Amino acid sequence: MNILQIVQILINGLALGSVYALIATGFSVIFNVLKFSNFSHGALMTLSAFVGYFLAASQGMGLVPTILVSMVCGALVALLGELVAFRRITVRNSPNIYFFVSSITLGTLFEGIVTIWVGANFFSYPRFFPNPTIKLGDLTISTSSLIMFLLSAAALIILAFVIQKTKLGRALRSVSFDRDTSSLMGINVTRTIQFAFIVSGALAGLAGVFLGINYTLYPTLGSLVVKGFIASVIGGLGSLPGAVIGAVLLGLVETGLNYAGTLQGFGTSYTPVFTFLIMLVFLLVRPRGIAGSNIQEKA
Amino acid sequence: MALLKVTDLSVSYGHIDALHHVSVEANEGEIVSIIGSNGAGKTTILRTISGLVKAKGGTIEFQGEPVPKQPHKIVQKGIVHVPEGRRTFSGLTIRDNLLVGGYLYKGKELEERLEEQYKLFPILEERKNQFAGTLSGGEQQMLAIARGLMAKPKILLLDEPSMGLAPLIVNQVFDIIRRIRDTGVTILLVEQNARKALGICDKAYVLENGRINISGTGDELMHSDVVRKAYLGG
Repeated sequence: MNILQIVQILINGLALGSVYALIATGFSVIFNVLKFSNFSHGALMTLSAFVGYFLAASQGMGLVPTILVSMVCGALVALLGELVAFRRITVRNSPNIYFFVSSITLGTLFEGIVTIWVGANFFSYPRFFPNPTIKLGDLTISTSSLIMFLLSAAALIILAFVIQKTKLGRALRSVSFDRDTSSLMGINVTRTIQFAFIVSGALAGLAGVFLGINYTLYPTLGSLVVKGFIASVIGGLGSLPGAVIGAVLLGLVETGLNYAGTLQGFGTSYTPVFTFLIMLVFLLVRPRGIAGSNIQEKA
Repeated sequence: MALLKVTDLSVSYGHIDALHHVSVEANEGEIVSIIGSNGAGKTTILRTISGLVKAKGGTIEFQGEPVPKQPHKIVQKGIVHVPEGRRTFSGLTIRDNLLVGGYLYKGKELEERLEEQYKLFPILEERKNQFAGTLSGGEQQMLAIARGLMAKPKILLLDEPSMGLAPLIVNQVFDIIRRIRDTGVTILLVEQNARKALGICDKAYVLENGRINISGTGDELMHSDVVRKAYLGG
């Protein structure tokens, strides 16, 4: 294995990791605010990716319109989902288990809608890039990986900026800590939660399109949300920087394992076994993940 | 006319009545104390005024108008509640805590409000980039009060600001409360520390089992036999 191959693996790993990072952050935003794992996130990715496919890509529009349509769809559907499935649970401060049940049900609904709509068929996005690869000296980079990496990174940087530096972001962080006290500061908690769902939904839409480009479009595409979940656990559930770190690591490890597996002749089928093992080890040894820190309140 | 007028307020949690026909008034520029033991309903009064708890009966009027229903709209009217146990956002920096407190303001006005708080609480400026969770109890109480002041209150509702603090720090907190009043902010103070609360106030109410049984000026209550026996240790 020479340097060139290592660089190649790093680049592909980063590209894959950045897509996982989109999934993991979209998932974590909701986890932060409402403290539950949103199991409808995966199905939302599928639904948005299909809407992008039918409204834009199959009409001959390019990558950017497809992404925009999917992101808008993700945001709107997430907003609707919040209203239908989560609003009452939030307002009544009901136990967390209701959120789980509600989100699983919502996810099943989304998946059902997609299945009824497209059947169990596979679809693929048209080829968005005229040149499938870019050559940089001896290095060959797939155009879609590069574009995915750049767009994901841009989305994550914008998200980090909004959350750290803007009024809305501060409101989101304070609502994540304490809803009641936030409302005493004049924050409209319902609006802030809606904002979280818009962000999460838009990220789901973007991730959905990228997954569709990477693999193909099929009704259970959303099960790849598990990658985002593994990434969040490794990085630290509820920590956005942690989710990104975990996702990038996961992307690199998977790409590396795939490469090594192919080299040794077992193919790629062992990779998921290893990644789940890594997650289990984290859950056993360091359940708060890499970046997760519990800042304890002094009494 | 009273700035804040609570009339016949009743609140219940399920079948348990927390407040029975409680009436409390605060005039502009006053410090009004509500004292009482654990579970008397002191916190419930404040939580109902700030909209976190729904009343079963009675009215709450502010500047002659009924208060809105939702907490964030109540804050817009100038009623700001500093909750029990400080409730600072531990994982946010001190500066961010204050900026969240000033959520309703932006730009230059927000910066000005921030500067005002730093002037009143120099310790907060020194530590502005630290996480709030790293502050001591007294400092967190200062932060909670400063965060409340960021919202430009006309009336500040303080829930047990002395809770869990060393006597010296309690004195500091009460000094701050006086200074805030002197800037024209009306204060409704809920306290278990009856001596302190009666010493500082213009008017006080004694709450027992969800009912107001005694009220009067701080001096009157300080010298009333009943209050002395029950709350001041004889």
